[in-house]
Amino acid sequence: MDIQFSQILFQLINFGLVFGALSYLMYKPVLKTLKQRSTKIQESQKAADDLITQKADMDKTNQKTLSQAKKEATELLTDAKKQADKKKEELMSKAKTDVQQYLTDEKEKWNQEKQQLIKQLETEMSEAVFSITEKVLGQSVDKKTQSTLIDQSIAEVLKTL
Amino acid sequence: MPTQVIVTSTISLSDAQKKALTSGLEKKYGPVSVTEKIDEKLIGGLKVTVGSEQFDASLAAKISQLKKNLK
Repeated sequence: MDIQFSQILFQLINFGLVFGALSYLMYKPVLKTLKQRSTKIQESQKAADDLITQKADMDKTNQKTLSQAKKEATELLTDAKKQADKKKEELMSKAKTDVQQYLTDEKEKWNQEKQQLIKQLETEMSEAVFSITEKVLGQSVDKKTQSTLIDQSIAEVLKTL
Repeated sequence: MPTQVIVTSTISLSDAQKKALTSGLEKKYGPVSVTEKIDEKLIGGLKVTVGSEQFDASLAAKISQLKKNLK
């Protein structure tokens, strides 16, 4: 077997030419494209990272806002409940006072009416008693008693003169 | 001229009663002329009217006074 150095040389030159051509025609553009792609990917990655950071910040802010809102809502609710309780107590107290006053007034009114009725009844009863007395006396006084009464009346009249 | 006196009673006065009354009235008014009237509404006793003066000693008057006092 003979080693043909010219062939080897030729192949080497061939290879070099092909390699050179390929490098120039393909390697650089491909590299350029790869580089561009890499840059784009990096930029996208950076953008994504920025977005993630932004989202994290927003989440934090939202959480904070939510917490604050919850706290305020709880405080508002507590205040509102306190005020409602206070108002309820005031209304109950007023209602109690009103009822007591009403009962006192009604009791007073009832007592007055009762007194009036009693007085009216006493008057009517005494009139009835007098009426009956007059009738009974008129019927039961005999002549002898009449005469005695006249004697007493005469004495009374003469005493008055 | 005698003073007019009206005596209202439930029954007629006896002579003694008339005399006692007349004599008492004459002490104050001088001569009197007594007219008798009967009114059962007096219930008992009598009422004497001398001009505008009236002396009511009847039972009815007493009951009426009692009624007024109790009111």
